[in-house]
Amino acid sequence: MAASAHTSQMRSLNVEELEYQRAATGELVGQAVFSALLVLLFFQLGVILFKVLEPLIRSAPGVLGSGLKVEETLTRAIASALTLLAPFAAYGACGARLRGLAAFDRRRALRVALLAGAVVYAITAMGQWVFQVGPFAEKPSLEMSFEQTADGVLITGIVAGGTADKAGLKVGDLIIAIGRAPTDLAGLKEKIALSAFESKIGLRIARDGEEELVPVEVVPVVEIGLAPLVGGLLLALFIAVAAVVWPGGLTPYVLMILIMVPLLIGYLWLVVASFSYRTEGLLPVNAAGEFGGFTLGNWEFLTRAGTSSNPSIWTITLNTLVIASLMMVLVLLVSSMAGYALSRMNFPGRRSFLSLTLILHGFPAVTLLIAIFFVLRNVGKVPIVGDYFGFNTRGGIALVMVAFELPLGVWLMKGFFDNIPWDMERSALIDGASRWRTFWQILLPQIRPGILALGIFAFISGWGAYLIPQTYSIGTKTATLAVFISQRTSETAPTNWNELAAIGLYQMLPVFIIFVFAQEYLLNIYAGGTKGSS
Amino acid sequence: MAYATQMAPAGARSRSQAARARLTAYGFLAPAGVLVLFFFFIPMILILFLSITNLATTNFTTDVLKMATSQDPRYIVWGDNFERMFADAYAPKILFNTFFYVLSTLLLFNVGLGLIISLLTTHINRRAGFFFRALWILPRITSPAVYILMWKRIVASSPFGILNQFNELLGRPEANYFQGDPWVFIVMLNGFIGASFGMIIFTSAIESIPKDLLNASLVDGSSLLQRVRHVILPLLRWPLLFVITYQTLSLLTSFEYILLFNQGGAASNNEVWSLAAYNRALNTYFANAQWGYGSAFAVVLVIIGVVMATVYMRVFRFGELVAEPKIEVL
Repeated sequence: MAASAHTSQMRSLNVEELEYQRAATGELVGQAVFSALLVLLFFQLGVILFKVLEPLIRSAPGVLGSGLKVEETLTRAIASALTLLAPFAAYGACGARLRGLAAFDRRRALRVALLAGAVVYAITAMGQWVFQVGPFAEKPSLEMSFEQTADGVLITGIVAGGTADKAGLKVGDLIIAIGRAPTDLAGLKEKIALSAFESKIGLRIARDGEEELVPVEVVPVVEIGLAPLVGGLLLALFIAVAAVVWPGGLTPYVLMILIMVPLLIGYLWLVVASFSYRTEGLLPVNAAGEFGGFTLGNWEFLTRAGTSSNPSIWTITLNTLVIASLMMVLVLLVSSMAGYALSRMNFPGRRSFLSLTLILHGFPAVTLLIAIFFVLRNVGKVPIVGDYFGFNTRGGIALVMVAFELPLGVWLMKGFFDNIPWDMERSALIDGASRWRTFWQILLPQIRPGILALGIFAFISGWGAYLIPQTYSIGTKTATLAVFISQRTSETAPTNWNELAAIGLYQMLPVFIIFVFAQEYLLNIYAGGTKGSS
Repeated sequence: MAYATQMAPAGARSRSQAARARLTAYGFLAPAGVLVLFFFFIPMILILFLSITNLATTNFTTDVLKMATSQDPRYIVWGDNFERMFADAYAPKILFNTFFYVLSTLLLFNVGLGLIISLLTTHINRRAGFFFRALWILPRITSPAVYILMWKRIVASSPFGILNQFNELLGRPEANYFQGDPWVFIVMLNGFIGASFGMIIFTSAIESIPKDLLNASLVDGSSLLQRVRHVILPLLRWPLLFVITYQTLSLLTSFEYILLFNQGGAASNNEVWSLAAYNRALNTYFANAQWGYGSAFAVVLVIIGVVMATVYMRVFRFGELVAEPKIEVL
């Protein structure tokens, strides 16, 4: 008995058990169905909420004084996802209600769950029938019946007044082609199933030895699909029963993985695509479109020699490395110096500089991109300095990124210094060491974990940076890997997706390895430092 | 403070000594100061100035001083850009897009999903929770270009698109997601990155909740949902407020992923305010760059940014951080 393990809870469990034993099966079914209905109601309220929101959103631009329409699809997508999930959640809730009973009498719990599951399914199916969704959905149809014969598809029946009737088709006509493409029964059925409502299908028919092209409009018709009905019932029962015996500890894991599906699929594609000739969805295929086609050919970019217009991957990698390293070193140096001064020294203007840092930390620097374009252009005019830090130079790009990370860096570094007891430093100062020497030899070694974290963070953001290198560079002279990748997707020539996937993986790999080893340091910085991106 | 009084007898230090100490401090601050000057202050003034000019590809110059001093009517147009912006046929749509994008991403993902992930990962095995949270950081460290590459392939048309492959398996007609439902995917792909920010903040907040409180509610026989509703959520009020304000500001100005995904779509259908500024002024894809007009769009965001950053930094962290330095005088 589960109760024996928790003696302190025994009393309450016994009361519960008694209640279950006294309850009639009908009563238990009723309770389970009731909780399922509550869940359904909850979901339905959600759907209604989003359906109400949709016209509001549609009308909003009109309210703002413009006739432009906003194509609004998000609310619709959420509403349909809720509609889709509602019945399954209801079956689950129905079963979950009986988990308490399962602790004492598993068989009875399963029996009740099956019964209640069937009742809930009947209720949802009735609801679906009223609203014509699920197995009762509207399907595209030509409102006629046909069968395969040796000569073609023979029309065996036509709904009077239906769309086929209106188009002038008659029983006994022989369909030989859709438009110009010859067809058989399977092809015709597929064509109808994939057609949009109110679109027209041009049927080439043979009547009395003459061929004729008859356009027939596709209309929505409600059909009761027996297979989805039976399948739905079985699924409902399965979910209800599974919810009774489902080990509760697994739920968070399953939910977690479900939420992550889009991400997992994306990264899975990246890996599969980089090692295959072509991909259709997630499947690797060869030139003939059949499963297979594994190849290392996508990685040939690693050995390709560069030309002036199309530099080799190693030039680009070097650019990226220089920019990322420069950024790392400068962010560390500049922000640790400023952090030290703010943490350890008192000087006029300290308070205002500190509040300035804080405000800049919150301020979205990307809004200044346009103006910084002109700053860099003008820096470029300065002799010597301009050659290294002007527009379209690695140094200039790195400097802008350093400046953008600076408020975060200074703030973090000040925090690290604040946490260090100052006894050692003070004795060094009394012994006559200069501030600079104290900073360099006494303090910096003490905040090594902080330096490591900020340095890695700066390197990763420099390595993957796209927006700033893209904005402040022309052509491929200073292109980083990220810019290189996006340039290749937007070119007018057809994109080689598989090679791009390989380059993308190549670009990700170093960052990924660093991340695996340094994630503990990094997690906290990402909470404080997400400037520019969401 | 104690040291200040201790040093009082030596407080008669010569002025030159104090001046030198000050100079050292400024020396340490100088590099940061220069960068802030060049990449925050000057640009802030510059963008205000640019917004009253009609600088475009046709009259391009980088000589800002010449533009300013010559009073040349070829450049200075005063409020024309703003008038034009308010009269722009697309502006209401862009404004609405911005609200829609920020609100839906913020509520569904940056706050909603972030909260769900942190609740789930703190209620499973510690190591597993850590592993899942590390996976969620992955989109953030993936280069935007590669990340968008993946999403473009997810929504691509048949036979390449991954979603359309599932449609095919289920016998459903092919859908054109890239053209048909861009908002769904723009919100999703931004949200999957944004969720990790809230996740980290909420996780550390949940983990710092005293165990006594949770144990007490456990003894009272509460379910997980009851604990979340009555114990955890009330204690997360401040972290929630912080994530909402901080992320509102960063979503308001984050356009990188929309730029890479579809440049804002046809007829500004998916353009948000910050992307509008970028597209008009800096995007080489639209041949005629209008720096002046783009700056007018950016100025709106700069003002919002300064105001919001000031307000919420005062609310959240200011008091804690302006504490006196440890070594005042030496």
